[in-house]
Amino acid sequence: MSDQLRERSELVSALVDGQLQGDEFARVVAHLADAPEDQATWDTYHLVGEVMRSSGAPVRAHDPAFVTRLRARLADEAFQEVAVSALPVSSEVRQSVKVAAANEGWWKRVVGLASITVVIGLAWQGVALLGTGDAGDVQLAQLPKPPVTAAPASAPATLVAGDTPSPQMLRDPQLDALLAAHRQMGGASVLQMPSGFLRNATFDEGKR
Amino acid sequence: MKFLVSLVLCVSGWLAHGSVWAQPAPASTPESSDETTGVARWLMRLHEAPRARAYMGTFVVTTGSDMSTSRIWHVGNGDRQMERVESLTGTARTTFRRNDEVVTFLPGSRTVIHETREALGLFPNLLNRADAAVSHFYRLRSVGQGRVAGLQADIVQLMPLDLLRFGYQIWTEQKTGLMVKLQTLDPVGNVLEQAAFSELQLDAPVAMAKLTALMDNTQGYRVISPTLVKTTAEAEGWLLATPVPGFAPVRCYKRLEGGVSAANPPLQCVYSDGLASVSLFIESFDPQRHGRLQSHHLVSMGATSLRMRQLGSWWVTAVGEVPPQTLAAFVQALERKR
Repeated sequence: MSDQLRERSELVSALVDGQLQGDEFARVVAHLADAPEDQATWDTYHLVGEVMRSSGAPVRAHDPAFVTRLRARLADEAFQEVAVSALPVSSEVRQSVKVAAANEGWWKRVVGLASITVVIGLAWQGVALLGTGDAGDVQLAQLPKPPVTAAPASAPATLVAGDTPSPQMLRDPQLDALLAAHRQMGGASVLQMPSGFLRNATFDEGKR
Repeated sequence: MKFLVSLVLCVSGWLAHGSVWAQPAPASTPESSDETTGVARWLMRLHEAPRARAYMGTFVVTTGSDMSTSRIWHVGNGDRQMERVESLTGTARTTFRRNDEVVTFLPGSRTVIHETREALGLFPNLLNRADAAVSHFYRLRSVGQGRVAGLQADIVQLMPLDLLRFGYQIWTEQKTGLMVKLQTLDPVGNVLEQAAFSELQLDAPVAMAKLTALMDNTQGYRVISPTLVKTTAEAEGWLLATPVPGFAPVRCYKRLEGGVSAANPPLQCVYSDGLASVSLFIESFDPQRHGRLQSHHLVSMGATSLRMRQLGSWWVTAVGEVPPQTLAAFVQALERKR
């Protein structure tokens, strides 16, 4: 039963993403017409898209209770499916992230081919210049290489669960409220005063 | 004999050389009284710097990959200090401060939040106390000069002597002693968070009267003042069985939402070692609200971490700009007395 449900919501998701065509498209649209549950799913997916694309403020204005419920559900789902974070994501998590680009296949091939061409071109140039034995030119030829710098060990910008094998993003209004209360009353030191006050007043709680 | 003298000179020279270049080694370095007063004096100077000064500038806070910016106006005449902070990123808001009185304007919701932050005025007392932790738990060292926001600055590091706190690297403008940049460092020296002026105009024409007029004009806004009731951990039936080294209780209060007294309002107790602070929140355990968080005992963001624990029918959260083990020590040490 739950598999069936999941399959149906996946079909609705595909429809929202514009991935269905022909008969399948017609079949799902016809099914949607008399399935109120799946209509709700359709609405939710659209709202999810809207909330994710916008700052959320205009959506909240319509029905705060609904948006609260939606946010709670979003937060629950975020654990399994979407790892929207600049953090190193473990390979299992990365596999489960669904990339919804219709033209993905050929685009990847084009990019792959283009980069191979560039690499061959550079290698050819490099070999040719190496042959001349001019060290200065070799250095120039090496310049266009993609920078292979190690990512700076930067701290995460979002609340991240640190007690699981793979870092996970956490969105929780309760935790945000506690953070705000700590920033408000916790500033007892010289570093918090006045610089910490500026830091806290500058730091944007609402963005998360 | 000559050989012996030269050997002694050579060895003492090498030792002196070694001590100059030695990295901060918490356990092995004995603390000199000179150094102790040095930290306190340096912090007092830092505290005094903005008191009688006017400046305006752009302030940038970076936490990991996230960046927030604001425009700052500051004016101080010795007794009174006023500040205006206008956010340039995220939700539009303007925060005003007059000593420890803080007013935040949120134009989006036409709301004003009016608060008194007593903690802002606590610093000198905290430092003057006999058991001032700052000097015993941090070591000050100068690391040179640099330029921030077009101004020449001295750079110092306040390095922790144990693993219960983070280190700081601080840039102060050479003439005024104003803090112009602050980095929070983890034990390895990675930057967890930084805040700095990207542009700063000293002795700017900032008028206190104008800031006062702006701060007090709440017309057309709904004013909210959270009700905070002062208390102590003991009075609420809580005890920190094993104190966390260096962290002294600063204050405790109960927050009454909307002025209405709930059956068990959440309790917040703040502890500080003079530089870092930890808030301990205690509320009754609610399976609906806290159940979801039970699988996550530790979460972090930049230099700030949160640690949660269910303690019988209570839910305890420790929040602070300290390493996770410090928060663990807090939540483990907490005991219910009654």
